Amino acid sequence: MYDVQVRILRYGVIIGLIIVIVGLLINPINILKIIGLAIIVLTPLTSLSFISIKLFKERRRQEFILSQFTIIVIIISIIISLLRNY
Amino acid sequence: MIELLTLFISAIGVGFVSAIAGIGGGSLLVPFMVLVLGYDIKIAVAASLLCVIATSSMAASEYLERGIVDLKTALLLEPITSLGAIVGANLTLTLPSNIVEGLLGILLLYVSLTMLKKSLRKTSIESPIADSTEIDNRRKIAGTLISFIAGLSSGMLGIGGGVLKVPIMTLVMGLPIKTAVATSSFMIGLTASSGGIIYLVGGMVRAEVAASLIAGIIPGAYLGARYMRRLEPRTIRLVFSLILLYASIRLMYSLITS
Repeated sequence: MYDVQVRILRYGVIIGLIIVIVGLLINPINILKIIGLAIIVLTPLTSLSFISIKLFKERRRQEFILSQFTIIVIIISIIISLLRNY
Repeated sequence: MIELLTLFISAIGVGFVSAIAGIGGGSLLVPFMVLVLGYDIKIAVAASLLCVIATSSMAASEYLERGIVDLKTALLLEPITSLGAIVGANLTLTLPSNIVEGLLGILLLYVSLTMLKKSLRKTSIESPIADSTEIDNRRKIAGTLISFIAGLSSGMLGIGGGVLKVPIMTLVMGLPIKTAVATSSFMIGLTASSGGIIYLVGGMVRAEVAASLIAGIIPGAYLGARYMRRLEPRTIRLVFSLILLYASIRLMYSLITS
């Protein structure tokens, strides 16, 4: 029913973890570590985005709108933290 | 290297115990990192949130596949919970470490007493309105408000918040316990993600610490779930509720003395 979303949740963290470990072992400029950590942190949000698309396709309007609220809250938080730190 | 190995082994233990005791890893991991390994609470909270994302994503994928997540309730409560997590994470980054430790002590006191009560109780209590399908507006508002507190504690103290979310869903929203656990698990990942982003962008996540913990907590939780039937969860809950009680007293004491 939610095959893609389940796969994102199941493998997203593992892929992120592998990238962080590779980054720790070989990469001196930290970019792999940051990418890996970002993948881990954004895995639930990515899965929710795919759930949201599915809800939209199935015309479950109320649930779709609620899912958009969560996505918007998280995206606003990312933007605010980026603006504050850089 | 020894530090990372210690974290890895500790995370296996935390994952194992939390799966058996039925609690999130964060409420064990943060006090362990602060009181035993001597990490700053902000680093511990940031690393713990990443572990919470890892464990809840694994659990939520199972629940979502089995179709026992109540998406409507999850999506109703999650925006305000995420907002709470964002506020909480920003508060932790702003407040002095000893105040955050004191607040963690208070939360652990609640968690340990809840666990203690659960381990001493012989039968589990189901939701009083478990069969109701319609949730009235008053309950929705109450659930949403308490969700904000659950999110706040998650973002602030690095816990999943299941200890608050499951009672909201069973007692306030009227969901059956299994659905509540599955729905809470799905929400925990999103809430931890909202808080985790703030710590990541704020430069509080140490990659080697987070990687050691995640690499340990996933197999630990898997082993815990596998051996759960062979061990007595009530005894384990009792032992760990007492350990958490001790940790909460130590954290509150350090706040008072500082």
